[in-house]
Amino acid sequence: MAEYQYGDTLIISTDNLFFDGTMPEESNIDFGDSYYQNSYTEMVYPTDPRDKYVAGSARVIWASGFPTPSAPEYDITQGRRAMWLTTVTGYPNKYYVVNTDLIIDWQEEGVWKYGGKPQVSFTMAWHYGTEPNSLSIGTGSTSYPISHVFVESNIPIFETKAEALAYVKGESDGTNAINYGGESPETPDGQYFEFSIQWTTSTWTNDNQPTVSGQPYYQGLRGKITDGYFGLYKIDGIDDDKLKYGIKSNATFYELEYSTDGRTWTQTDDLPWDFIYRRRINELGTFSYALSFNNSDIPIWKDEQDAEDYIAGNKYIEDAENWNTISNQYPPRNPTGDPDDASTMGQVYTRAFFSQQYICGITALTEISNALFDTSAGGVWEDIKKGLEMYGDSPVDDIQGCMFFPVDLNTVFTNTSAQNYIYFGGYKLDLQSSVNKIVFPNGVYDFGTFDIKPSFGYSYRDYAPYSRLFCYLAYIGWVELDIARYIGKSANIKYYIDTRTGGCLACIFANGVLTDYFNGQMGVSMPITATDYVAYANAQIQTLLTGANGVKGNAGAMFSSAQGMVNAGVGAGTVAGAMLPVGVAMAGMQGAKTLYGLTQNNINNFNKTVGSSSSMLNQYLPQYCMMMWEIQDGEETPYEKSLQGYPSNASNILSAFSGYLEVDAVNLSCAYATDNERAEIIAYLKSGVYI
Amino acid sequence: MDNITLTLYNNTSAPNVVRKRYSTLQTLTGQLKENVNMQNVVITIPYFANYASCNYAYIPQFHRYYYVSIEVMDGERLKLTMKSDPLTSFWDNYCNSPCIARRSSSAPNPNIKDDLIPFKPQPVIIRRRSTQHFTPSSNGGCYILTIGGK
Repeated sequence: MAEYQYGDTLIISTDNLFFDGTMPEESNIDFGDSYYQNSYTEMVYPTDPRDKYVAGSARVIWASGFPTPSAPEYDITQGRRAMWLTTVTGYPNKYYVVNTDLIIDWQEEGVWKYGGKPQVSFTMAWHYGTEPNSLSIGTGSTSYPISHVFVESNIPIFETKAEALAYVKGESDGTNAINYGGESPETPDGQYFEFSIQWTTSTWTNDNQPTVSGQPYYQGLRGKITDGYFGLYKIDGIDDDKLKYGIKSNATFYELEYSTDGRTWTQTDDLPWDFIYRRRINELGTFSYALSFNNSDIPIWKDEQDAEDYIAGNKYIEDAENWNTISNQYPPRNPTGDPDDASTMGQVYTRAFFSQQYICGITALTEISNALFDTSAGGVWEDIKKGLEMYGDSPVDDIQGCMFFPVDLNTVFTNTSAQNYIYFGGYKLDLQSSVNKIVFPNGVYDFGTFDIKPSFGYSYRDYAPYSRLFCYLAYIGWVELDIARYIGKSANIKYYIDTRTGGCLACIFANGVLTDYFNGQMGVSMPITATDYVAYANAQIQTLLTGANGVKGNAGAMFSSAQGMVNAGVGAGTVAGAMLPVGVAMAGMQGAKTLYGLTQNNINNFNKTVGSSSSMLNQYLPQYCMMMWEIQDGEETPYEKSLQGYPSNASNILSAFSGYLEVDAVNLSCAYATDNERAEIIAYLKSGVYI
Repeated sequence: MDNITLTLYNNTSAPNVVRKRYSTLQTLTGQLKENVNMQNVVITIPYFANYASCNYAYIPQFHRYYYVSIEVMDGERLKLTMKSDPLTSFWDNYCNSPCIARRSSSAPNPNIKDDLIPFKPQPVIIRRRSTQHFTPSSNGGCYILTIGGK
């Protein structure tokens, strides 16, 4: 418990603010008949509208700058205040009584003025009960009715005055306060169950007519099964066609309770009985038997052997005789019976035999380029050409592709071999730099993991459409993920890269299970020849004209193809003409000498991205991945809980609820009401009442 | 039964409040005006000063609370027309009835969406970057050179 310092606000408030369904406005505080009274029997009404308290509550400010109290035994610097429960003669219910040593600064604005006089010892009491009874406040004699008050306070409340004083004096740490907000014990996970039996004890007479007499015996059993199994099985041997049920259990229970009257519950550590009768009508004597048996949770087996197999874990609950009637109470079963499997990704062992791929840095690539264009006598170019007769006149024609990737693939691919030479056909070109030859293009780039945690404790607001999850994937764009598949899990993004096409496959795993994947283009193909350039330019134009989502780009009506630009009048001798000899470009695309991946059919897929940008332009975009949560911000008011409650679906007796209650269904048992009155009560309960 | 004892109250609670808040005005004896059932009672009582604040009553013989409307008869007597309040009268009787709550202050279920909570048009946007990223730069990234050859 925190200690209080000068200027701290001590809060004592009650939850009956909305007892009658109305809320006083700040500017016009009307308490009706709710008032407080000081020890001088003076009726005091709050007059300062800045005093934000209502019936049964008080906001007490402990401020500085005031004279010391007249009772020196109260150490105001200690900073501890406490309340305790007590009873007052004539009022059998417990009260919360405040005993605080307060110094109230009367000169400051906004401070609650209590009777116009400073109080050293201040006592308040509320009635904490269930009847509209009278209440005595402080030491006054006037009483007013108020009932069912709950006190909320940041002051520790103890069962006894002795405990409260011990805390105030520093002799205890306050963890024994009944409103101690420390770690609350966690409710263990498990399967809740409840079944009810209408029992009675009766005597069968010679005429075989049961005479109902006596009080019902155990009428219900409920609890939570946290471990093990619990089931019923049918026992033969009763003369009629009705059966007796035996109980088989090796379960560990949490909060196991039984009831003998159907209304009140008694906690027990052990099962109170090991069998229940379904019904019995024959034989003579006095027997206990059940009038009816309601069970929506417990599996029933045809015999004791099946029940034993079940609790031994050798039978599935789905095999129980009544599974189709109790299955609604259980979470969805895994139809395969198998647990979730983590995804195992494949490996790439594609190997090229007639062309090789080399991971080159800038230095190595520059060196190769210089060698290929070195036409000086005795230069490397002559030697390369000798080994490249099958490729035509130029060693450059042997280059099938050059593609830039925004990541050093030496960190991605694991099957590479470092060397300082490359082969042009059969010709070995030695290099001063080093390159890595890709043996198997197998590897993955890991962007890392995001924890997708719930914002609202897995309430409905943690799921779509109240919360949405988007992911930005580099070289792909923004995608929306199904948040229900990721919430409470770790989302891991990995990229698989195709060095032949420059494509990338972004895989998103939820706790190791592949959940989503998206395609993109990250490799930037560098045109090598004029033919390449036509294809490259066409691909860019097509991408701009029709983006991945079918959205028109901004290329305008300029030209529909690089060939079109030539035909528009750019003649030979111009730069365009030199690059694009008429007919050659098209022939290059359609002819036998087809560059890898640059067939006519692939043109529109060349460098295409989701974002309608080329992979080169995508280098301007963020190079990381990103998760974005879009969470709807609720406008819940402070009165939400007390005035209209929250969605519930809880089932219990009416008196177990407090505050606002609106029922879906009620089995109203009311002895004195007429039918009309009973209908009226049900109508009120269904439209909403305040308890 | 002609004379009947009743306690008169000033009730400040709404009809759908089970445990109503009321202050006692007085207890007196009245006369049943006519043959009535216990749900709808008409009684005449002697005039009393603060009758105008009377809107609620309890009749012990009928075990019921009543909503009251008052007519001044002749300056000496008041006529009370009373309709029973079964919600409050029989709470102790039916409070142990089992029910399924649709909405509740004390037993909320966060898994069920609440259609009564409005949402702001502007959602909260939270962005988180990955720990790793691509590194295209003047000396970052790499080139893949594909060459025909052995």
